[in-house]
Amino acid sequence: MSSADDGSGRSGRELFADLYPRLRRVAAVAAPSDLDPDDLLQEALARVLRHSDLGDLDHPEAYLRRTIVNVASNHNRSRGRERRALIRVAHAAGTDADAVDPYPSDLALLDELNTEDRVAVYLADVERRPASEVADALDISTVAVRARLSRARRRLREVLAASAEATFEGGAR
Amino acid sequence: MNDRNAETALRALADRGSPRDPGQLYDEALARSTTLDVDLSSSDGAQRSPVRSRSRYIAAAAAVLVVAGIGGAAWLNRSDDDSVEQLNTDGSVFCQVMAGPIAEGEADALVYLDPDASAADVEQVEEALMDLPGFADLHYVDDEETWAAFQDIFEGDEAMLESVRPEQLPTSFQLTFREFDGAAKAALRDEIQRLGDLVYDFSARSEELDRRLVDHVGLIGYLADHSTTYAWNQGFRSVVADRFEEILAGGEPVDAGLRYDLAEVQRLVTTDFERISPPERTAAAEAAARLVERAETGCGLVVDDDFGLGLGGESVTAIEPMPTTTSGTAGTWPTTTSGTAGD
Repeated sequence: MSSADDGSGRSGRELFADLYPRLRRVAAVAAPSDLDPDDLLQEALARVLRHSDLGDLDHPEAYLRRTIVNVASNHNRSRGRERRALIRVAHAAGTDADAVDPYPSDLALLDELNTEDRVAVYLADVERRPASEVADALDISTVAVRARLSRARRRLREVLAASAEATFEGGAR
Repeated sequence: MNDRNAETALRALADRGSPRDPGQLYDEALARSTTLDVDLSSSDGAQRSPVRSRSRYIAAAAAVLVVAGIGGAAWLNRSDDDSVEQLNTDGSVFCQVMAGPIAEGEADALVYLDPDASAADVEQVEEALMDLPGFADLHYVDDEETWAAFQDIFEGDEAMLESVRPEQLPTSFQLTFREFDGAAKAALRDEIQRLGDLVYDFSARSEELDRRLVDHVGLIGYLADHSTTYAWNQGFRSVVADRFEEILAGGEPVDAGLRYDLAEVQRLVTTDFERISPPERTAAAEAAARLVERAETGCGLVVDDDFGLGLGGESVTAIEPMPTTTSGTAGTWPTTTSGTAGD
C-alpha cells in the first residue's frame, strides 16, 4: 500500500498527522488501561492501510475511529477472559483475586465501563459530537446511541461515585 | 457525583500518556500493513490470539455452511484476518451454523448471549425475555449443551474442534411465542437493543418481507461486480434504497437484515463513486451476499426505522438485468464466488 497523494496535495502521512491529536484521544478513551493508546491507534491504522490509502477514504477520521473501537473492543473481550481466568486461579490457590489484577492504575476505575460506553460518552459529552457520529463510530443506530449514552452515563456516575466514596472512607480511617 | 466530574475523568483519560510522533507512527503502521498476515498468524502475544482463533473459526464455519447447503460460498473468499469485517460478522456465522432450531420449527427466535456474560447477566436477559408480549416458552441452551451441539455439527472436523474452546461459544435462549407476529418481533427487537452488549447475536424466523430483501440485496452483489459505478449507483439508489424504504415505511420490522452489511454497502456506494476500488466493490458484493444469507436464515440484528437509508429515488435509465434474482443463493452469483472479482 503506498502513501499516495489524496488529490489535495496532501499525502496519507500528512493527513494522518492532521488527524492524529483527535484520534489519539479517542484511542486513549477506547483502550483499556493496559493498552497503550498509540499501539491501539497504530494497529487500527495498519488495518485500514492494508485496504486503502487514507486519501482514498471519504471520511478517514470516521473510518479510523470505528476501527479503533473495534480493535479495542476485541482486545477487551480477550482481556476479560484472561482476567476471569486469573481470578479463578487465584480462588483455587486461596489468594486474593485483587492481588493478581494486572491492571492497577489511577484511571483503571474507568475500565468498569466497556469500550463502547467510554467512547460514546466521550464523543457525545466531551467532544460534543452529534449522535450520528457517535452511531457511526460504534456502528449502531442513533436510537441505540441514545440508549447506550443513558446507560453509560449512569454507569460512569456510579463508578465515579463509588470511587469517591472509597477514597473518602480510606481517608477517614 | 455530577456530569462535570465524569467529563473531567474522561478528559484525563483522553490525555493520558505521552503522544508519539505521528509521522513515525504512520510509517510503522504502513510497514505493518503489508505484513499483517504474518503478524496475525504468529504467536507474538495473547492480545491477538482471539482474532486468530476467530478467523479460523470463520473459515471453517464457511466450509460447513457450504456443506450444509445454507449458501455460504461468499465466506470462502473472506480474508482470514480481515478484522474490521470479522469483528462485526463472526457472530452471524455462528448464528447461521446454529440456527437449526428455527429451521426445524422448534423455536421462533434465538438470542445468543455474550460469551463473557455472567450468571447474573444470563438471569437478567432471561427475565427480560420472559416479560415480552406474547411470550410462550423459553429454553436456555447452556454452555454444555452449546458445546455438545457444536461438536455434533463439526463432528470429524478436528481442526475446527481444536481451534474453538467451549468458553468461546455463546450460550443462547430458544424462544417461542404464542404468535410471532409483527408486534412480537418489534418488542423482541427493542428488547435486544436495550440489552446491548449482553446479546451477541440474534436470529428469528423469516417472513415474507425477508424474502423480498433477498431479491433486492441480490442486485447489489451483481451490480458491484458487473457494472459501472454509475449503474451501481443508480441501481442501489433506485431499486434497493426505494425497496428498503418501502419495506420500512410499511411499519413491520424486518428481522433479517444486518445493519453492518447494509451500512458497509451503503458506505461504499454513497460516498465517492469514482473512487470505489475493485477490492471495495468485491467487499460490497460480499456484504450483499452476507445480507442474503442472513435474510434466509433470519440471523443478525434488526433493521429498524432508524437505519434511515435516506437516499431518495432516482430514475433508472440502464441497468443490466441480474441473472438470478429469486433464488437468493449466494453461490449463483458470479460476484461472490471469486476472490479476485473486479480486480
